[in-house]
Amino acid sequence: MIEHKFWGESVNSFPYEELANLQDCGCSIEFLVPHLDIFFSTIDGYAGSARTLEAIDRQKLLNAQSNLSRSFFEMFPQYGPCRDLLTGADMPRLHRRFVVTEELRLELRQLVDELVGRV
Amino acid sequence: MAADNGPPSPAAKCGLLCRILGWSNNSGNGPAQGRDPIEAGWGVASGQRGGSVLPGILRHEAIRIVRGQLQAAEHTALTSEVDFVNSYAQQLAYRIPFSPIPKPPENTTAQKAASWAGLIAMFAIPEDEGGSLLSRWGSGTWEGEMATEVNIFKHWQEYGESVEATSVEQYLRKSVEFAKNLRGAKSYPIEETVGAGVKVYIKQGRFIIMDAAGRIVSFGKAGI
Repeated sequence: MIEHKFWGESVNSFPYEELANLQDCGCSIEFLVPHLDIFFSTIDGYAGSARTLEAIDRQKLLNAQSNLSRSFFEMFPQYGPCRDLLTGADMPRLHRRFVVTEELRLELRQLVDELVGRV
Repeated sequence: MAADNGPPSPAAKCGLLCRILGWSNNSGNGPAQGRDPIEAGWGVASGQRGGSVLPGILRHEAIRIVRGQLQAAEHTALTSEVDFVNSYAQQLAYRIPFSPIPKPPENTTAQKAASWAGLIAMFAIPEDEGGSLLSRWGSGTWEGEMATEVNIFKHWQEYGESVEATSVEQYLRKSVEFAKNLRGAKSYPIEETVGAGVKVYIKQGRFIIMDAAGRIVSFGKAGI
């Protein structure tokens, strides 16, 4: 179901135009795009290959558990001031990306926790 | 002797797909006379360079799928070029055993279909060169067969436009070229977030992310 949800999302180019809203948030956003990419694509990889996770070795599972343990703002707390600006009204595409990715992260975390418990 | 009015040849049935793959029935670039048009078409798909475009079993499998699709098209109402391309792209994507690419939205346009077919276009690189280019990329957190290819494809979908790469091949080339000269780039180690050795580099408005082994895992425009 995780894979189905992931692949069912429409694929769009990165919403650069929406990031202009974050220029006034008071934090440095020079590395924001690659940091967002790190977060999104980390979850994407696990979600897109969720079906194979039970076959990977314990070390990779533990890495996955660690990578899935934090939300974007926990992973990159320097962007905390931007959080309130990330609304569906002002940044619909990026907001949607966050919502879906966060749902996938939580589902994946539960799956990986179960798998770690088994091995 | 009467003209043969039998069913159209596979190549003649293939419209948009042929154009995406660079086949042409009129320009002389199309499948060579006397050869299996599908087999020959894969060679033409890599532009003027010729040569094999799909590595090993993938190439074989793609040819098998195209042939099956074309045969099926003659026996069904599968007349829409868009449906044809989508169906084809999905079946080829099914070669990725862990994650079949889903059906595109119902209102898929020809342009979107062409984008979906980007997964196919990705392999339009001569085999040897493709191998060396692909080896510069890592799979990120993707698992399974073709994990690296899927990682590149997904990043192209997201950032290809931002770096003016209209095909996966262009995106791959640009990323590898960018990675060759990172002197003067700003770097940002992020080992505390996604593992030791992962680094982000920004230079001239573009970013690249390298894994601990020095392989590219992402490339795109950095600025807003």
